[in-house]
Amino acid sequence: MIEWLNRKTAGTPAGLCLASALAALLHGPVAVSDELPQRAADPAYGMALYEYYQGNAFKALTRLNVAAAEGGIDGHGDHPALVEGGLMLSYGMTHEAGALFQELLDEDAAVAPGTRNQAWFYLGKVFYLEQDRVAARDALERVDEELLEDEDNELYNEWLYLRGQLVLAGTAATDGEAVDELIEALPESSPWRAYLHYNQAVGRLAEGQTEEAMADLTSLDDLLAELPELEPPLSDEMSALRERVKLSLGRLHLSRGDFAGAMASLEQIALDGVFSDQALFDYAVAASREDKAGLALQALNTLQQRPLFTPWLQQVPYARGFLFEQMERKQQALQAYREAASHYQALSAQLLNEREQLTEARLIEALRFVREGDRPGQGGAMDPALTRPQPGESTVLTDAYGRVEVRPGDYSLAGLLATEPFQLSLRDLHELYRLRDSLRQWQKQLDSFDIMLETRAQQREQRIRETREALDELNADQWLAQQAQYRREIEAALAREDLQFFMTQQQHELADRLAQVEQTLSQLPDDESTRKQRQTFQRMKAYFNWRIADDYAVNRWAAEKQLRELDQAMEVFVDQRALIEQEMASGGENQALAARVAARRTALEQLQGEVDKALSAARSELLALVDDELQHQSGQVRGYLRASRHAAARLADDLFLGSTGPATSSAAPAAEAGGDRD
Amino acid sequence: MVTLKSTFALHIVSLALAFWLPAAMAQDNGEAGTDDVAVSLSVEELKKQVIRLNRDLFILEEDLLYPASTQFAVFLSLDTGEFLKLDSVKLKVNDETVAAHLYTERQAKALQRGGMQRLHIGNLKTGDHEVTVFVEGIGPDNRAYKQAATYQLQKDTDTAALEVRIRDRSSDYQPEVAIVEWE
Repeated sequence: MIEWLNRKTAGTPAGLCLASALAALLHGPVAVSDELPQRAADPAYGMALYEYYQGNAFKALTRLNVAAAEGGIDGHGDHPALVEGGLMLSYGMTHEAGALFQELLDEDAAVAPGTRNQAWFYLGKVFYLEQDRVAARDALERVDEELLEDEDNELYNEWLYLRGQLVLAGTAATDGEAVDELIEALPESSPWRAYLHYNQAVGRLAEGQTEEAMADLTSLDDLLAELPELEPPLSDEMSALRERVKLSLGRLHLSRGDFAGAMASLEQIALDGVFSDQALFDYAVAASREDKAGLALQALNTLQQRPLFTPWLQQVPYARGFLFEQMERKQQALQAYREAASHYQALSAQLLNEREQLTEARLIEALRFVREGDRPGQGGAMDPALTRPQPGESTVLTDAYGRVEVRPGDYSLAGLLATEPFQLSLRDLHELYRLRDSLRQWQKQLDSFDIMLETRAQQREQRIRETREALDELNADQWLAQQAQYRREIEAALAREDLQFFMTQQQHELADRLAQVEQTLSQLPDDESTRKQRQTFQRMKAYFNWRIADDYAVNRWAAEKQLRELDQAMEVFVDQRALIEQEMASGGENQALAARVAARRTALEQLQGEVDKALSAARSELLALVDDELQHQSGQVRGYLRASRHAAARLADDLFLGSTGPATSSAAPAAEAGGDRD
Repeated sequence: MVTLKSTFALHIVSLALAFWLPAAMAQDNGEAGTDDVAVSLSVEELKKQVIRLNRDLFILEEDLLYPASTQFAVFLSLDTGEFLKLDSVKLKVNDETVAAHLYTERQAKALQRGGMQRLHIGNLKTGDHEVTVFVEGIGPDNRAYKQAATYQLQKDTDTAALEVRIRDRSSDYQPEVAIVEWE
């Protein structure tokens, strides 16, 4: 965290970088109000919150998008929109976030007052991040102070901080509120107060108000010393800020010529702290000006033993020579200047070589991305034996605004790494690699969908074959023909009022038996007995015919009912068969899914092309920045090289003249010093 | 000697300037930032498209793997969680373990703050099913806590969603595990 702060604060506008630091520190992924219901009223929202609170902005945004596509979120009013806006901010989608907050602030939108209030706050923050200070001020001034303080104290403190930052940047509040008042309104234990106070001191110095700046820094130092025990990482952050304040105080004393005061301030900075290199160098400068060359040399020697990591520390070899010379130790001074010249010579060649062979791979090689679980100063990412995290890896740590946590593995990049444009380019590169990896993963997912759908299609074909065979076995057409035949026969019987046609089974049997009896009687001799039997038969037959006639309506109704039932059953059968035929003929749901997969594949391929293009642009931008930086450093190193050689030549001349007398030429020592006086 | 002193003094001045002029740095950054805005905008647009595509794939995957008629999902929520530090959860459907999860501190905190985890999504045919959840963690007085809850689910042809709800019971200062069905 300390190294991270160092990186942030070394080269960026103080306000922006400190705001970023605080946002990361205090709010994690996003800084939306904590005034949330204890339990989600909609699982879709609950799942989005689960990702959101873990800092997984992309997953949370996807969940919210899925919920929106599936009918929205119930029971949470406008809060999901605020969460989405906050997530967009933390995912680096400031434009989208701004548009969303503006939507919430639309006059026609039915939005709760608390949500509207927070939307003004976040919109102000969007404008602030986009450096549109007037719009940021106007939006922040629309926030209802009391309501925000009542609803969310942390947001309220951040609101005061942002307003203070805007005043410091020259965008005065319309009500004329001064930074002092805003600082006073912040609680003493709030980190927002400490940072705003510090930035105020920086602002005053820039305006030449050194006395006021000194007073600010001194009171801030006292305040930080009295802070109650804090939990990490906030405690680390505040310790780093206090050291930074002490360094600032030391440099302020230095610039005012108060070298003893500078030494007193700088002495308090820890030797193993993040600002120790700067403090040691400044201490050496102060001590040399205070005529305490021994102490100055001690500080420079300590620095000399460290890897000269930052480009500005390249002054150390030359400064050692200067100090020896100041101490009248001319031989040692000459030696130090010569060593400095060789160092600069080698460095110059190295920088030239780096420029010539600059590629993205070499650049990444020179950076140490911090992986989740790595700690500054420990192994992990810094251990070359282990697999180094690469940009695009999901485990690489980022801050609340998507900037990657990275340390320089090569001194020449240390300064550049601290600058905002490089950080933003690196963030874009990291994000683009992540997008590319996601797209590749989805490509595989779509491939597996294809396999799945193909398998389902095969299974479907198999089932269709089986269904066709089953239908064939049912002789469906024959059944249909028979049904038609029955209908025709019944209709004909109805037309001719055919009593016999509608007889029941029992009646048919009786009719058969009557016919048999009639035939038997016709073959019998015509005697008395037969005559009686024939009379009986005739009565029975007459009764039977009467019964048939009487039952006709009932029998006909029964037959018609059966026909209707058969019609209905056949109708269902016909419909089902048509449905099956239709289903078999069409592709079914599978086809619709396959069409969706194909559409997504097209979209994915198109996106892949765009990501590749953006990656190429981000890569070129990053390499151009590095090339500029290396060129700039080469110029600086050449300057140090010239100064070292000149000093060595001059000193060699002095020594030569001192040992041989005034008549001796100065050409030989010049050659001894290295020859090149350019 | 005068020259040397002024050279070293020049370093001091340049050093002070580098430190005390954030405005100058901001100007330098501003120029370099023009191109960056363009790239960032393009990256932002790409992110938007990627989120949209991911959303579509999510929905497509669910439609493909878990059709609405058989879909069965189990969510988990933690209401305040003061009486329970959640360690792990195991879910069984008809005596078969379908999900098990060990919670990191970050995940447990996300649940405490109101997040809801989808513990399981799968398919179930219509009919009666028994759903059992086993919750383990550290309960009141730093004692190991283990509790199970069971739910008899009657699955019809609509999507079924259950919630494992862990909440603090203020009557006896104990955590409580329950399974409720979302309508």
